[in-house]
Amino acid sequence: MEAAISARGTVPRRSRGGSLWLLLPAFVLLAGAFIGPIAILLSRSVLDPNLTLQHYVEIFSTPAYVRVVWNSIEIALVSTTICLAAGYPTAYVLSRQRGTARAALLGMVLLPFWTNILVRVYAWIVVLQSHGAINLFLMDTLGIIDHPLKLVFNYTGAIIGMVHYLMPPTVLILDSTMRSVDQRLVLAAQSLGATPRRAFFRIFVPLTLPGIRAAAVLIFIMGLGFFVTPALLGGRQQLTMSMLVNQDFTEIMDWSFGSALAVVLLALTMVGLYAYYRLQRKAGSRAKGGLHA
Amino acid sequence: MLDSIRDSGVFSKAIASLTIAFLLLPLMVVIPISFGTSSLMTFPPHEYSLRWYRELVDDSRWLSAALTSLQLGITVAFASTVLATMTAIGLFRYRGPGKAALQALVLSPLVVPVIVIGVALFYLFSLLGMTGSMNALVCAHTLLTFPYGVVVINAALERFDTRLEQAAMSLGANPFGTLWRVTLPIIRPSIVVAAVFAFLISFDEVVMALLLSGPTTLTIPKQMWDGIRFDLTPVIAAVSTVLLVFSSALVAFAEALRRRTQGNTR
Repeated sequence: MEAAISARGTVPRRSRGGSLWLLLPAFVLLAGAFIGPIAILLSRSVLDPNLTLQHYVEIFSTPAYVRVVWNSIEIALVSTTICLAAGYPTAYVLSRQRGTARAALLGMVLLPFWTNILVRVYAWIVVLQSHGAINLFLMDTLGIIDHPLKLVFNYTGAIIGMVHYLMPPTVLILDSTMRSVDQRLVLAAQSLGATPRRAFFRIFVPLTLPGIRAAAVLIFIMGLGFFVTPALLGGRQQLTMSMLVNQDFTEIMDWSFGSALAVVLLALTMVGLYAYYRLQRKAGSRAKGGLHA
Repeated sequence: MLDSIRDSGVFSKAIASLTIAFLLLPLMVVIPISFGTSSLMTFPPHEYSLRWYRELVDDSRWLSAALTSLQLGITVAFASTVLATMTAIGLFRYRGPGKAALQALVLSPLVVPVIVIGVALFYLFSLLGMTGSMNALVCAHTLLTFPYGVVVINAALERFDTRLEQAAMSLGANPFGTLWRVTLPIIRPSIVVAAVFAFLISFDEVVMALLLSGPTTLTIPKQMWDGIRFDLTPVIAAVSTVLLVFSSALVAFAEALRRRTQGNTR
């Protein structure tokens, strides 16, 4: 995002603030529908009706709520790890292809990416339910189990759905990192006698490491605040922060507590974003100062 | 040598195949099921029919949801694209201090969890007595989509030869004429892409729809959510298949347009 919108910064053409009025409508919307409402949440979370931190204390001192916070982090962490482990080789294969083969492979990653999340969730329920495709295959075709496995509306279902949601962006980010690696360095290593395998692990992988770190943080943040998949595939036993925030506002009507929880989720996201920008900057300066100088 | 660059190893290829299979599996299952006859959603179906599509067409709730979603998506595409175009041009031309901060602010709705913005807007619109209204949904979806438009249009502006604007000005065009007759026509394809993306995102958006829609503004995603939550019928599979075809066509259109523009402006 940062790179996509970087300043051209060459020709100083106009007076410095001459086109600022063009930004006005966007800032009205951002102030009225984004910053303002979040400020209202923040104030609701600490005023009840006097200044108090009781809702934050409640979140971090009640085992059930600590469990919810930890659950969200754990689901995001496990899904991110699986996405990186499977997404790295996939992105590697993708980044190596040219022409039609690449377009076809990219299409197969983009199709789920652009598919409505509810279509994907519904499809997973159909596949994973007790008389779904996977259980029938394992029971009737292979005969290795007698009773259907419980694959959905629990932790397993939440992870499967989350990995499916996060995998396309993971592959796309890693693919762009890998394509920016200078292939001549790998070739140079091989011409100096390294086996392809050694060149891959000693040259290619380290060069993609900054990109992997940034992708990991970004994917983790995406997973941490996601609502739809855990809510529909995880079931009530696997409450996450986003699910509890939704419940507090629409079912339990405890808006103060819900506001505090939303602020905690927002704060965790901000910490992650800060880490992301630090990593990006480090990756950028290393690329400039090190190899391409 | 070239072969060793192209070749990505057996292990990588095996993992990649499994990953792609994992990504496509649910979609490959849901389409046949939508053409099945059994309400148990067994796979593969024993018999094929158009039963679920018939039920879908006969149910007026889906039709009215489709109309709501279309109306919402088109309104959002329009509002979001106008806003994104103005913002992208404004940011592109701005050379003063704090440019990076302004850009970060514009893009920030993309990184805050949607559920947080969702409950914040739910709160705001309850105070204003606007929950359930079309305006609330348009406002929420415009907020979520216009930053993408800014990114897409900004990419076109980065490729755009600003000397064309200078030429127009030096030939006597005023700033507005230059914008209207030179800048906008050149970046038009990216504006169309931004509009298609805004429409798609709004058309598919779930969280805002859950929190902000009311009885008269039920969108397709809201209707699907209720369907998945309460009665898991294969009609949802039929809806899914229709949506799959619809979004694929729109994405393919936007992608083709994006490619063409990248070829043209260079």
